[in-house]
Amino acid sequence: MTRSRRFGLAATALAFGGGLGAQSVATYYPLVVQLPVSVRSQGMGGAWTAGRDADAVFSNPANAGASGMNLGGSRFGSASSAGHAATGLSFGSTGLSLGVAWLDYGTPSGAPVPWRALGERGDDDGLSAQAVVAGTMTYRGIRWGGAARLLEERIANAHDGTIGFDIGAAREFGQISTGIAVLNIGRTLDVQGRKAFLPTRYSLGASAGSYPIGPLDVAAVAAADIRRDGRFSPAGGVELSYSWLDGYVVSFRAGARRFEAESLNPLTVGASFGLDRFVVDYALMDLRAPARGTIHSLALRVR
Amino acid sequence: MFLRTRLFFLGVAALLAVGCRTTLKLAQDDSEVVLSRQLLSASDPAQKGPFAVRTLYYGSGTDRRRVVHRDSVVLKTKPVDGSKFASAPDKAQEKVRKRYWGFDFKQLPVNGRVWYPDGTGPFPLVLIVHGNHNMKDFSDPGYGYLGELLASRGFILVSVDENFLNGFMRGENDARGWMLLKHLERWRAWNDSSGGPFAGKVDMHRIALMGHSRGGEAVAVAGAFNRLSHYPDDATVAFDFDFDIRSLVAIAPVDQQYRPADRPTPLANYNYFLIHGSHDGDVSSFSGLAQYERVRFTDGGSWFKSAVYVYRANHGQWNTVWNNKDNGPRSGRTLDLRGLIAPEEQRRFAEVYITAFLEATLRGHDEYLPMFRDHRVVGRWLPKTMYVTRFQENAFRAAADYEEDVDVTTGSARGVALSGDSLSTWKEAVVPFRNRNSTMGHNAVWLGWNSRLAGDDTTRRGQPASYTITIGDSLRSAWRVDSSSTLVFSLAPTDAAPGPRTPPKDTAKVDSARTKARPSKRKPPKVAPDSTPFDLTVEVVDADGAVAAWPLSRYGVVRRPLESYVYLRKGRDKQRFANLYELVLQTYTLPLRDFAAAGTVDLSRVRAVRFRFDRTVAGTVVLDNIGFSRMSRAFFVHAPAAAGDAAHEAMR
Repeated sequence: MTRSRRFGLAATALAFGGGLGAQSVATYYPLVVQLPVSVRSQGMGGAWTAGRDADAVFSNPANAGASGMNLGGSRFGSASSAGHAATGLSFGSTGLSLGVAWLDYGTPSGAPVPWRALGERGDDDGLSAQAVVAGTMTYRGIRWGGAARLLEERIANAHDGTIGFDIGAAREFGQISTGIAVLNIGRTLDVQGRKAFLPTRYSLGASAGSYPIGPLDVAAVAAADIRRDGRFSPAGGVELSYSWLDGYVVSFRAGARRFEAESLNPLTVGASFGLDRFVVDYALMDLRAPARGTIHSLALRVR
Repeated sequence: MFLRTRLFFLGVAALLAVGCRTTLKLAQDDSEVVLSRQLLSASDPAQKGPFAVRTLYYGSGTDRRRVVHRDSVVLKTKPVDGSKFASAPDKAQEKVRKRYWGFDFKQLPVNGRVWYPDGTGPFPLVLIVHGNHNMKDFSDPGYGYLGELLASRGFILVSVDENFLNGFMRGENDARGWMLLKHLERWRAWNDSSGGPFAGKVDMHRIALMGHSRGGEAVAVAGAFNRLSHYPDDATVAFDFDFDIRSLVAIAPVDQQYRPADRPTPLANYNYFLIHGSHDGDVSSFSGLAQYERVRFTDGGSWFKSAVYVYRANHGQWNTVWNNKDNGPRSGRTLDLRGLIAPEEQRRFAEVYITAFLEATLRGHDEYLPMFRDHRVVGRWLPKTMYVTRFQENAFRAAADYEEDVDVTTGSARGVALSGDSLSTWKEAVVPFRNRNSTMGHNAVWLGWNSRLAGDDTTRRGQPASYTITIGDSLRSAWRVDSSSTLVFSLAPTDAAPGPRTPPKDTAKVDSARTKARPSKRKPPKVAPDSTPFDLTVEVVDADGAVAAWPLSRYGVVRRPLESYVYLRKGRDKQRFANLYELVLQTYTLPLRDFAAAGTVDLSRVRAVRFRFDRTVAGTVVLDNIGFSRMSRAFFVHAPAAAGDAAHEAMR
């Protein structure tokens, strides 16, 4: 069996093994797992299924385990804020990653769709958090990964938590990296008497780069997610980088996505400045009506 | 206010970026003086010769990537099976390569582009092969400038296509060398054939191989394989080459990427010429010097080896395709290209020296030999930059090459004794490359001195330090050391300067033995770095103790280390390299007859050679390969010197 065929079979197994099917529940918790975490990826539409860095622990466990450390935070208008930290270590053909992310928000009491709360602080304080540990192993050219997430959603005095699981696979084809993952496999949460599924989703992605075009280096990412209710979220972005001196690089990013969080504007932009192993990433997203506000994200990456 | 903040951050960013870019740093150029003379009266080897130049291609005729090797092939060749010598590093690469080239390592094409003289011949045959580069950016056309020149002067030059061995390959330089010999098999057949463009036109007794980068190592591998009956790593592969290869040229070569039987490639009885640039952004150490040291002359034939280190030359400009992209397409971000000499200048150096080497070793034009001993004799032919030359010929006998044992007082031949006086540093050690944790694989002696005596008075000097090589009578007789002999050694100053010497104790003082010297609380006075030209005295001592001496600078420039900054980013060179300079020893050849004019020494009874460190207050030199040679007079210039021109006299 060729490797590509094996990879194809693995992809199919992952896609259908998770129980794809339409669901009637309209609410998904925790909120934090429905937002793109990596600030670099935020500038490119959040398409990070095939992206490989420490933040990949949140988007595809097969791409976790890349050595490095990321720290980042986001501010949603004047109402909510989010933060994350992730680190990875590789040991030969294996890797280990850890990550934590949280979202602090306030939602109007009894509001059925909490996304609107990201831009407007409601009466009930909300906290959505996750802690992830992921392990990877390369076997016959394919990187396999699995992750466990400790998930919790807290609104006012009510809260529920669970453990979710991710599985994924990734492979490089020359300069193209591909990844496939099933994320957030786990039981239903019950917050304030309202049942909410984990947002289980099937994600397929590819990234390419970086190709020299004139003085610039160009990288591109793309991903397509299908949530358990069948909601399809395509995403893609490009990154243009320019280095004038070894170790110094500035990058500009743009992307688009149909976000799971419907109050997020699909267009995103970002930028970064890198100096040797250190990179400062910035991303700008927008909340659309009826939510209001701009999302500024900033992160420090240590490669 | 907001605008000010933004301007502030922009300013900081600009300062960060500009401030981290190194300013152009070049060593003080002395070429106007060093290269001010032209003592060779031979014709400029970079000038075109009398032949009209013709070109053709040979090869598979089926190449899917190069039109010339598909449609323009005059002589068709069968592919050769190189699978015993090279393989793709992994399956993915194997597929990528097969998809791109359309063949695998079992079907390697024998492709070449030929520049040849329009004449009856027979003409010497020279093969040149490129090194590793992007396999899709074909490297073999990049030596056209040598092809045009050499063919016009009566050589057949073949630029061998080995692009299919380029890319992400490792340890394949045996394949590169073996391919050269497979090309020679084709040439032997064409020369022996009754028809075709090269029937009877190739002088198969005068062959040279040239290679660049990995190709530079490949020519040494080919030289070794040429005389072997079996492939060292798989004796089921029999060799039957034994071509009359006389000369090898290595241009910025790598070394030991391939190790036959896990040993460095040995070479014997070839003329060997090596060039390397100080600003090489790819092979950033003068790796070929290790191979240079391993070239031996054992059969009594007239062989020589020479190496020239070219300041401000890079890796790629020897090839018109590669040019200044030593670090890939984005070299401008990484490498400081401002310091490079112009590509045309660098290639002119190659034209001058390579042509002269081939003229001398393949066609017996001995008039070019002196330039391989001392580059100063061809000052007008050379681009104005700085050079360091290594040289050795078959008549050299080593009194001290520091390879034999760990006793610093014994030489390399029985009857040689080494001694030092007033030295601050005296040690034998392996010669390092500028790259960290890599060495040239041979030993030399480090000699350091400081004539200044410790104390407040910075003008106090002790007696000069010295290092003496004494040879016994029997060895002198065996080597026939006399006025026809030449003292030969290689030396390089380093940037290390030992501290002031402790003054001898004044034993006349009654209490001097009882009183302990108290360390001075005052800081030692600062002494400005010695900026005087570096020099020392070489003395020849006869059996009666009579001494004759000349300053070393009479026989060649004695430079402090030539620092080269390869990288554009400030501090990168210090970070990447153990030293900012490559320790390249300059070979000096001092005819003993010259010492007759410097004293009343009896040159038929030379007892010792002494290096007296009396012309520079403090310093350290690395010294190696000290010995005598009854070298051919052809290595010296015979043109008469102008009256009173001492420098000219010494260069002869």
